[in-house]
Amino acid sequence: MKWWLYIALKQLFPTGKFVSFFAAVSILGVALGVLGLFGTQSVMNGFHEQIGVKLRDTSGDVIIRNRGKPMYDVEPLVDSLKKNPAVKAVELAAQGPVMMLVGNVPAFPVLRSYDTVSGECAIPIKEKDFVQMGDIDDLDDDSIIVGQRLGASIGIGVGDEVEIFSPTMLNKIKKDEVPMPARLKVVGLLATDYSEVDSNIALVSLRRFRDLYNLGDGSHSIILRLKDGVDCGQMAKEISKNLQYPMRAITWLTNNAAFLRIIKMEKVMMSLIIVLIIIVASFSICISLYTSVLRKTREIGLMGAMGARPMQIACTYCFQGFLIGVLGSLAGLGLTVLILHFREPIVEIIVGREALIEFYHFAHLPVKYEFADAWRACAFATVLCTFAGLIPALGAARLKSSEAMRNE
Amino acid sequence: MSEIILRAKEIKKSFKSPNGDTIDVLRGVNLEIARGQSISLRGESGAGKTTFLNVIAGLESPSSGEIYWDGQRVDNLSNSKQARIRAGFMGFVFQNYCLVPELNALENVELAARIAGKFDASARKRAKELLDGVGLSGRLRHLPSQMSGGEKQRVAIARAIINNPRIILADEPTGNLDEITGLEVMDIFLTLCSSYSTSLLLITHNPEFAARTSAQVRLAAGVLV
Repeated sequence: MKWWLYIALKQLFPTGKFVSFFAAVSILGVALGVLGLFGTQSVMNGFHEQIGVKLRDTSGDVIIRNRGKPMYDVEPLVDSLKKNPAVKAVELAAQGPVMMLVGNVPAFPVLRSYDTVSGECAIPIKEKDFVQMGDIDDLDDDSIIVGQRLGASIGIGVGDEVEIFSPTMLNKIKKDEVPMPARLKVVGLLATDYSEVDSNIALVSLRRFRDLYNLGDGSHSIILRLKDGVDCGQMAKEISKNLQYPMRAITWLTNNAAFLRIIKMEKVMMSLIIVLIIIVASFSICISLYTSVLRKTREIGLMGAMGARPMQIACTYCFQGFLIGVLGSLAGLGLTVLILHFREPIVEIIVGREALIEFYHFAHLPVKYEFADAWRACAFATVLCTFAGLIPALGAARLKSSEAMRNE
Repeated sequence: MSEIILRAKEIKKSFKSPNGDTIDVLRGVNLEIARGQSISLRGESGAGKTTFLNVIAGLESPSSGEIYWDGQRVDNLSNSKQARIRAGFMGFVFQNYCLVPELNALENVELAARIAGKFDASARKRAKELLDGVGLSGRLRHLPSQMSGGEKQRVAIARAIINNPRIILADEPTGNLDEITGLEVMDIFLTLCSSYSTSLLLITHNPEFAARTSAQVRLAAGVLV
C-alpha cells in the first residue's frame, strides 16, 4: 500500500479507534445528502411509475377520438382493429359528466360506459379485480358501479339507489318536457387505488350511457388494449394513418403528457434543492480537512523531510475526501434502502395516509430504485468530496518542510 | 582518508526582513562530515543552526554555495529528486518529536520505511528490533499520547534509523526533556549511531552532549568557528 494511502486511512480510521470523529461526522453528512437525493428520486420514480400504471390501467393504451364529437358507424374499424395481432382488446367507450343525486345530496362524477353485451373492455377491470363488493358481470342497464371514494363521499354503498341526470336532459327542459332521471342500483364499488378514478368515476352499461347522452349507436372513443411489449406510440401512428380526419389515435402517454411532465419536473426540482445538502456537506469536509492541515503542519513538514513529495502529501488529503465521498455514498444508499423499506409507518407518523391519498392519489408510498439515479448521486457526492479535499491537499503540498517544522 | 558523505561548500543564506533589509544568516559555511563521524553544532539562539541544518538537508535552498550528498551535488536538483534521495540517505530527529498521533510507536517507526518505499516484512522486524533497542519493546502498540516525552523521542530516534541512513540530522533532540531523561536518550542515540556507523550532526545547547561527539563546531556570525 502506498504510504500516502496508508496515512489517509490512518487519519480517518486511527489505530485503536474504529473511526475518527471527523470521519464519522463527514461520512454521515454525505450519507444524509445521498439519502435525501436518492431517496427523493426513488420515491418520485415510484410515483411516476405507479401513476403511469394507473393511467394506463384506467385509460387504455391507445385511444381513438373524433375531436370530442361522437363517432358513428365505426364497427368496420373496430373489426379491423380486433384482427390486428398486436391488439388484446378493443372497446367502444363513451364517457361524460353527469349529476348524481342521492336523496338531496348531489355529486358530479364522470360516467363511463362498459359494454355489457360484448364484455369487451380495454381496462383490466376483471384481471386486477377493480370491482369490490360486487362483480362487473352484475352490471346491467339498470345498475351502476360507483367509485369507492365517490360512494364514501356521498354515503352510498352496494344496494343503494342513485338518480342520474345527464347534460342532454337540458334539451328536454328547453322543449318544456320534464326530464326523468335514470334510477340505478349500485351493484359494486370501483376500487383502482387511484383516487382520481375512485373519487370521480362511475360505470354504467354502454346502452344506458347512450340512452342518457342520446348517442344512438354512437360512442365517444375507441379504446385499445395492446399485448405486452407492443410499442403503443408506434401502434398509434400506424392506426392514425388509416383513420379519416378528424379521427386520431393517441397513446395514454400523449393523453396524460402534461401530468407526467409535471411529475418528471418535480423530481428534477426536488433533486436540485437536495443537491445543496451535499454541497454543504462538502464545504464542511473542506473546512475540516483544511483545519487538519493547519493542525498537522509539523507532521506534514516531517513527512517532507523524510522524503515525501508534495504530490504524495496532496494525495493524502485528496484521498481522504474521496474516501469520505465513497463511504458516505455507500452509507447513503444503505440508509435509503433501509428507510424506504420502513416507509409505510414513517409516512403514517409524519403526514398520515389520508394526506398521501388526497394529494398523491395513492394509498401506499410507491418506490422505484433506478441504478442510474444511485450512480449519479454517488458520483456527484464522491466528486464533490474529492474536490473538497483538493483545496486542503494543495495547501498541504505547498507547505515548505523547513517552515512547517518551525511552525508554532 | 574517511569517506565524506556530506559536504557543504561556501553556503550562504540570506532572508529579507519585513522592513526590506537583507539579513545574512549564513555567510559562507563550509563543513564536511565523514562516514561514522559525529559532529555537534552549537551556537546562540538565532545564530542560524537550524537554517544551516535545513539547507544541508535540502529542505531550504541556499542563496549560494554547493551541497554534496555522497559525492553527488544536490543543491541544483529539483525538490522531488532531493526528496527521493533524502528518504534513504538521511534521518531526522527533532526537538518536538513530530510523531504522527494516529499511529502507534511501531507504525510511526515503520512510516519512514513506507515513505522511502522500503516497507516489507523485514522492515517491520527491523522496526521492532529498533524499538527494542531503545527500550520500548513493551510499548509497540502505544500511541504517542500514551507515552512520555523521553519515550516519544526514543521512537523518533528509532524512526530516524530504520532506513539505515548515512547520516542523522538532530535538532536539539533533548531540548524538551529533563536532564536525566535527556542523558538516557542521548546515550541511546549515540550508541545506535555508532553501532550502525551512522554519521551524526547534532545541534545542541548542552556542552556535555556536545563533548560526547567526535568533533564540535560553533556557528557564530554566520560562519563556523
